Amino acid sequence: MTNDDSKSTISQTRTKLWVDILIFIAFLIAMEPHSSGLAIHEWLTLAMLGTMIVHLLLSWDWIIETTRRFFGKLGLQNRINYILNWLLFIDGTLLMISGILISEVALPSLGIQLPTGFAWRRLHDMSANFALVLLGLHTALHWSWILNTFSRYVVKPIARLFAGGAKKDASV
Amino acid sequence: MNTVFKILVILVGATLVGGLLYGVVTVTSSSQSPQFTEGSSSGQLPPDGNFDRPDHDGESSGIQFPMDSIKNLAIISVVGALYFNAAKFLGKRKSIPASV
Repeated sequence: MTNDDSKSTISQTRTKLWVDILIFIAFLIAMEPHSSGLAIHEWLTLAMLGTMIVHLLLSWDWIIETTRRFFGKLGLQNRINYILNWLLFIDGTLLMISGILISEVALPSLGIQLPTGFAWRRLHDMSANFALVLLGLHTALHWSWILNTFSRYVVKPIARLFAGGAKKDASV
Repeated sequence: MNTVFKILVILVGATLVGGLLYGVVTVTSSSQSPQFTEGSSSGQLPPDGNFDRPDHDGESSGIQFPMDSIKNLAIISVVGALYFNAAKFLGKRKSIPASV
């Protein structure tokens, strides 16, 4: 791996960490429309669509590699992870479609009125609850990555900053 | 691979999955219940109890907001912990040699 490649990987991992933190916080806010309000709920989730695409783009190599190897030699954890990611994708799509179809703020404000069916509200609630469970599993499967990356790109730089400040104070 | 092409692949994938789900839900729900358009002049109203959204702007806020998010965070943590324990349990079971 060249120096440029390694720099690019570091930058990509850092971007991924911040995008994931952003998605996680936005998801927690969006999950409670009772508290945050319907307008925030709808606009935030529509904006999350963009961050989800960035999340998938940053994991593109893993997706392609695992798809190729899925029916061949692949570890159990990777296999579970791959299936879980597909479930998240399907559930996320259902969540988004049902949300758009029952939208009361975002779409009407754009002048779009869609026919509402009986099933969509219930499906929206169900897929949201299912997404919560899937997100818990997704987080658990990536826990070591989260800990390592958070420690490397957040905790250590902050600790270094404080250590640098303490050294400066000592030298004065 | 070009980034635009990757984005297109993701969007096409989402459209296919979404279209399939939309088709399944529309077919199954249309056979069970009528459809209506909100604000339509057809005079059809939503059935009682099903479409009354309780989640309107600013109805409740303040202390409830972090509490609800903490509740969701707790659910995510519990699911994660369950996964870890299950993985640990299965790992232990695998490592114990089978008695003859």
